[in-house]
Amino acid sequence: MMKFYKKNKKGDKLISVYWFAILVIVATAIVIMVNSYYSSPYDVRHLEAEILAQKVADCVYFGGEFDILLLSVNGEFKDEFRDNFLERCKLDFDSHREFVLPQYYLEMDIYDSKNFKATNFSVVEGNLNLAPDCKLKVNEDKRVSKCFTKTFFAKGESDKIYGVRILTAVSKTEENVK
Amino acid sequence: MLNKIKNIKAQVGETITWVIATIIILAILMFFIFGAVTLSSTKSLNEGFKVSFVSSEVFEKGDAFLKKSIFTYQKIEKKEDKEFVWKKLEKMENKSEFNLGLEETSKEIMKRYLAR
Repeated sequence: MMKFYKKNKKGDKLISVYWFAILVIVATAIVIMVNSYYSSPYDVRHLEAEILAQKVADCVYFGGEFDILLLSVNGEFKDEFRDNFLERCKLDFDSHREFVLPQYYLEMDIYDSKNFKATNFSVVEGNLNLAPDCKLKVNEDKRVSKCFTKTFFAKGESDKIYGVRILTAVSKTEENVK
Repeated sequence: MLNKIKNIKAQVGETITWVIATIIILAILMFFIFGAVTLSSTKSLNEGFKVSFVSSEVFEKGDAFLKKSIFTYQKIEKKEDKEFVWKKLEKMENKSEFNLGLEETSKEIMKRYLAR
């Protein structure tokens, strides 16, 4: 009986070691899982491109009216607004790093809603190298810039209707892609 | 003697049980680690949530551009221009260019901003 009890105690010890090993393995696995999940960044470039486009849209057309600095009373778009577009819309595309090109690209066309080919006003700002990324049919590669394009209708002077097409592209792969 | 043989048989059975349990535990852990790694590579943020007056589905996603177009539509006075814009908007909706339904958003905007 005494012998049997001793043997049983050894087995218990072995099982305790086994459980301890399992505990360590499970804990390590949880640490690996949490680390791998939270170490990779959220890809917010698409949202960023959309927010940028919305900001531009609000800048040029808000509350059913064009900005008075953009459209004159005669119904003409002002070149001064184009020349100082980033300043007027309170945008800053500068990367604030030496030898680093801007991470944003912006294109806006205002055209006669009945004639899509006749552009009345056009603005291009930011890093022109990002523009070709938006023309790719397959945009699944993570390293490619994320683009966003939308069109909306706007009413100008004397009930003239315009189409406003905004295209934005955001690079920033370093911050958004692992 | 018989007791000893029985004891060995029981130990073998128990050991096999633990070995299989360990394999299952490791397999489950590997599965979850693989899942965590896969999910981490597809992390992206969705748009915010806004409460609707008309239905629970409308305004769950925002579409500032559609709302701007509808504002424009409401401000146009000429009937033919109104029809023209509406037709264009319907075409755009058919191409799934909007995040929201055209009809519902139009009602929502009327109720929210213009019916005062």
